Amino acid sequence: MRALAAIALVALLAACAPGPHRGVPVLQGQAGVPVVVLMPVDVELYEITAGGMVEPKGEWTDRARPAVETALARFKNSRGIGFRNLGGVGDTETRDLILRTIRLHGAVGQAIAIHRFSPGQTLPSKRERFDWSLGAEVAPIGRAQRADYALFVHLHDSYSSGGRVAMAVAASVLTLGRAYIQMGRQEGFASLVDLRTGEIVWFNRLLESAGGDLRTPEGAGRTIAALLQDFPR
Amino acid sequence: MRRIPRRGFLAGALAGCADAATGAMTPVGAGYRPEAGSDEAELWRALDRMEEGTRQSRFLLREPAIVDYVRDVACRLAPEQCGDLRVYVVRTAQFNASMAPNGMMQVWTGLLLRCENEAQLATVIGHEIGHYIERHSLKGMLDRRNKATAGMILSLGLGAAGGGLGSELAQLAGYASMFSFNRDQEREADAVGLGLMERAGYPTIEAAKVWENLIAENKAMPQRERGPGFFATHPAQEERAETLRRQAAQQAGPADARQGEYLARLRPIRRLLLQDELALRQFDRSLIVLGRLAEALPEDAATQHFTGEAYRLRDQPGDADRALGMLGRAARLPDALAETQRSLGMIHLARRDQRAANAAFRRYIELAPAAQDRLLIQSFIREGA
Amino acid sequence: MKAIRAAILSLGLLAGCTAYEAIPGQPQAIGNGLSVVGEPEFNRRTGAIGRRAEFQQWTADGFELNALHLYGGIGEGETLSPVADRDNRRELPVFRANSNLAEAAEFVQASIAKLGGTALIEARDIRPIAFGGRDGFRFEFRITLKDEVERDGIAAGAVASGRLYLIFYHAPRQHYFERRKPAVERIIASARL
Repeated sequence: MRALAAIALVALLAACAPGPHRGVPVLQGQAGVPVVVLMPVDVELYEITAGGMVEPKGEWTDRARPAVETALARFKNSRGIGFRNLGGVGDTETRDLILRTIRLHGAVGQAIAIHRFSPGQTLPSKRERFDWSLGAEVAPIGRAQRADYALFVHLHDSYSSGGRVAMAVAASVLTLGRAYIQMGRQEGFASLVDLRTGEIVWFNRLLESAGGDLRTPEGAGRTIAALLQDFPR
Repeated sequence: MRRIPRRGFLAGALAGCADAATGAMTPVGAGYRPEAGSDEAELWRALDRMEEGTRQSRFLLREPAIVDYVRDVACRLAPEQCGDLRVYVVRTAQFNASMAPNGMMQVWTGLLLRCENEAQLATVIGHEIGHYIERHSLKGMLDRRNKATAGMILSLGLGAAGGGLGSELAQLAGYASMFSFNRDQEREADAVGLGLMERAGYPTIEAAKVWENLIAENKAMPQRERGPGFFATHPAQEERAETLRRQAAQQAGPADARQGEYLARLRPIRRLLLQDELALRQFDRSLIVLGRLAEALPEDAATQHFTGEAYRLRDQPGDADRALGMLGRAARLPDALAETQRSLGMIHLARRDQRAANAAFRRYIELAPAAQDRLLIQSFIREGA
Repeated sequence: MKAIRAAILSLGLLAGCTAYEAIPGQPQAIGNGLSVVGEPEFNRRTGAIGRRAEFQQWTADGFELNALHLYGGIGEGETLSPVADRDNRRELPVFRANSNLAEAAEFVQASIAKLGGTALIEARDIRPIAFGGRDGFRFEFRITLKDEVERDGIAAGAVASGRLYLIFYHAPRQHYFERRKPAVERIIASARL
């Protein structure tokens, strides 16, 4: 009986868990083939607790970054889209905007991961629509990079959550870190942003079971493949 | 879940578990670069990436005059290392400083506020340079049996890789706490620091005073506000201050703490430092710091003003009177702050002295016509009172 | 450490029963003393947050992106954080019933800075307004929290019978602040004490 209930629960959760958000059927390029610029991957590995202490989390090594980058390069090559790394950014204004937008993406991605993917956390006002955005302010990035879209990848070690949660309780009024702990050991998400409007046209988050050990090429490859599965053509 | 105590200048006495320092390792000389492919090179690489994040933090204080001054003090102490170090002043109202093995030095604004003279700043910088020259971080890293810690140290840099993503401040603090030095290493750094101070012509007695001042500050704090680490190791702090005092007695030759120079250089940001200090709302402790500052600068309007503010905001029995006295004195100083009038008005208002409040608020608006709260303050001026 | 564990625990419990409900465009009671007209683009967090029934948190896009905090009365000796009231080791400012409007505004600003754990906060345009038909205050602020995202905010409130009735809002400067500002202004304008 109990086993049955457990199976039913798993089935229910699986049915509830939505797949990646796809806002556009096909990508549109200004000049033929759509160009996607890859933003620097946002990786974080530790967190300060409410007590001001730092907790080391996990055993990432400096192999993780090259491994992730290699996996992304492999993914890029397998697609017929014009993928491109972030090029040299001339003026300080655009550079500042890029940095600001990467930081904002961290906050937006967390909000989406919670309110679209966590059971029971849906926002009623957003039940019928997905209208998260990084703002039309991103347009200059598209112009400077001659790109139509930007891909943001965010990979955080979720051990950080302990600290975040404590912080969230202490600062519950500001509620910036919250109960998004159930995301597993790795907290990862990726967004494809239309650089003309700032809209997030595609979004996916990493399931706990899907992530690999980022220190190994295989693990990083599996993680990126899981994260970018169903990436629009 | 393992917790590493916050590292930096304060951590010396915290490091209870002492891994023995590993074998002979040459101290760092000028222009030092680690050998390619070595563990140390890996550490540097990670730190360089983290430094990129530091550079882009919104919490960096960017006044060139202040940053240059701190760097000048470091260079005066250690001309050999001058070309290898990069100074970052971080706007955090806590007492701390650190120097990473790749030459990234962080000085927090709470430290600048607390130093009474250039020699005290040199004490802390000299101590950090001591760790740097002796390569304590690397020794600690190689030494750590726990591979996870070494992995963490290397991976820390990843967080900042790609150009300062995520929470840079967390990285700053994270960096600060990633190495914990053992007691021998702290002693060694103290000794190197004292040597550098003496050579540069600073009175080494100031090193002991830095610790004595911190101890006094902590004693003033209510139990619940004391940091866990600092208080727990209190005897070690006193012992350290004593040791430094004893060593200072041997100094020969003339020395200058350069107090006037220090206070003058800090003047442009003193108001900011005091404002940030008060925002911590640890008024008992802030009053100790303010008291020291007032001794050195009895005629400084900002110091008097914020002392009055500390009393007004602490709001314990008798504090309103103390605040009124301080603020009244501050208001009569030549470079009085407009805000002093605002605070005076608040106290008068609370005492239902509308006439005095009117006068103070009028004066406030006269002195600061563009004040952000002008309209609200104006609404407190009631005629016919 | 124990405190942190306890905190995690309590949030764990809390998270279990936290959900969101729609807010109809009708008067919404925030405790006994305050009511505002709801805005359907916002959602209310349900479940016990802290211990005060008269404290509500609303969001349109998620709390990282816009957060509206409504207080149906902060009394003498209380702080801005319902959790901190239980264990106030964070030196949060304490509200005094005899505060005037400038002191109340000061209290709010200092509390936000302290809760945010940042020195990077600046208040602008602090002015008297009518709030819920009473003499009240309003100000805007800009704050950088540890995630280094720059946020803008609005706070408005009034002191009546020794209690502070307060609404404050903050959102990232890029896109999100302006996006929900009109609704926030309507909510503030609709306040009744």
